[in-house]
Amino acid sequence: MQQAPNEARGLVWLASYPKSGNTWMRAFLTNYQRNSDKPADINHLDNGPIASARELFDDEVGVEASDLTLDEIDRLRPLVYTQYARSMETLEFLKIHDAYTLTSRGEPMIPPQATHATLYILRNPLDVAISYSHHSHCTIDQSIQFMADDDHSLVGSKRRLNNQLRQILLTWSGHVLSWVDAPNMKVHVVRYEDMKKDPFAAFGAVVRVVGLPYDEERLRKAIEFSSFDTLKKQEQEHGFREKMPMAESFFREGKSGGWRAKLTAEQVQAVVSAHAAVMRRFGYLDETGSPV
Amino acid sequence: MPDQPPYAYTAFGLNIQSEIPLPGLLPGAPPVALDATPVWVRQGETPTSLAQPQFSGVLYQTSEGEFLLTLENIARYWVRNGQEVIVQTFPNADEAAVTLFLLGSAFAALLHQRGVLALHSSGIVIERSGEKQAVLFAGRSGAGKSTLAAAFHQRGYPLLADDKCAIVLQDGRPIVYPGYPHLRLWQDAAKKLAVDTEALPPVRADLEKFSLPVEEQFHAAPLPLRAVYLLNTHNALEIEMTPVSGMNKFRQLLQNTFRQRFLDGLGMRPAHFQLASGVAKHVRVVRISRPMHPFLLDELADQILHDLEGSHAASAQ
Repeated sequence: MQQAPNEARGLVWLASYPKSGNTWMRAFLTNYQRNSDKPADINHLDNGPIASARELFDDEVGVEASDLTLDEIDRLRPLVYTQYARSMETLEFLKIHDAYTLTSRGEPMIPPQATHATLYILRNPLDVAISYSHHSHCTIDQSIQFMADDDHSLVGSKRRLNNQLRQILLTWSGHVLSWVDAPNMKVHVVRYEDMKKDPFAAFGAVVRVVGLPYDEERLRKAIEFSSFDTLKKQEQEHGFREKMPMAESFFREGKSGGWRAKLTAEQVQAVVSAHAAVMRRFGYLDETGSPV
Repeated sequence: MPDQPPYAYTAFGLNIQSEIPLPGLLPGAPPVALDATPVWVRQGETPTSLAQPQFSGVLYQTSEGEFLLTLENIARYWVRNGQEVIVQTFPNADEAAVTLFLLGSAFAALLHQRGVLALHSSGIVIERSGEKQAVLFAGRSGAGKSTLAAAFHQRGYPLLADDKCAIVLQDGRPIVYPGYPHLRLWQDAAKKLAVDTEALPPVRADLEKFSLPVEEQFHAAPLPLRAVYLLNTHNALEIEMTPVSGMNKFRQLLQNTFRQRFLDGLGMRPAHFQLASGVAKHVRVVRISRPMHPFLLDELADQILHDLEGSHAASAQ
């Protein structure tokens, strides 16, 4: 296929708190880019696994992260992404769950100059709490606590080696604000609920923002090929390698508003009181402060 | 170890003369040398960057015959022509860390410069009808190479190398030269193996990763390569073993070459291709997917022994 002379290239971040629709977005983008006659295999989506993958770091740096301290690793990560972005000849999408933080040197871990665009995928924290508990194999009360814990991180153990680097998440609110208000980063916010309610508008906007050629038929097809039912069916038939070992499945219900049936009034209250300001800002609370 | 420099050590069949003590290396000359040219480890000034780098990574630069690696607050390493490593230690550096990166990436570059296949793998020795052979466990950082090699060592199989092995072709056959006589284990891996880390030195300050010296049952001489097991993890609960054949064997050897990104800038890619394709012809390669948790360490060791048994029977027919 002939490439347009001014086709966009560079690194596009797919940033989100875990269980907020990131994989759905990756599935959509892969299907849109491939423009194939059948859905893309969820186990072979484009553009690498995740920004925190240990091997991405090791390859770019030249020594292994497993011989470095957590602080040294974080200080090198901006250089890793700068180096990684330098080699890109097309658009590359990279999923990331880290919050947008500064290293101990005061540099952003995700350098704006290495960034072509950023999509921040956001989901109602009341639903995230449920999904995150299934994913992490913990109770909903625990996941609510994690989401309110400023020190929460993924794979932060110093005693063992994981295939990913430590990812600082901050609180759920802290995570959202760290990205959407990051200086010098043009961040396009996509709400999970809008991807559900009006996929054509939500994904259409994404296509334009990242600089892919806009094509309605392609858009329709990519939305269908990345629908929740298609993804879930693929997982049931062939498994999904990004599922956590203890979780029953990765694609579970794919619903918005599941919290109404699953959370107790106390749990709703705990989430709302911890995250009211951010929830209000992104339309998850009405004027009276009640969840929408 | 003589108490005056240069200190003499051996690893990968090389004769290493060092101005600095390198604890953890086997002292003396190699029982069977890979070649006659010694390696010098010297202390001295290093350039801050190479004159004409072919490639610049985050912490390293490469050009033909030259490699430069800089670790802030630790040391800079200048590796030249497969014969010399000049180490410039930075003020107040942790000595263990200086040695760690010397024996890690700097020596990997040195092996590349010498045209040796440095496989990212740990190795053990199996014996069959009186003949000793090398079996390697390859994989990315965190795949379980050291843990598995340690489990075999506990079962009485001699250790050949941890983390990287040197492979060369001799009379067309792949031969493995031994690495360092220690196993590097994370705290939780040590616990799995019932190894007490209390008295063990950490590989460097601030890391809960320990160096377990292997004084007994370390095999110091080269051996023919029998098989390479590629370690991967998956989220299923079983161990899967899949033999790799044809071109894929070659591809896997490339992918599992230690710090293979260094090869291009060093101008060693073509030689490495040739070596890897020669090795691929004569080695059994099996891909293993194991659950991340639990590791299934004993089952895995049993299945590997079973596979070696079976493949031996098959090749004998």
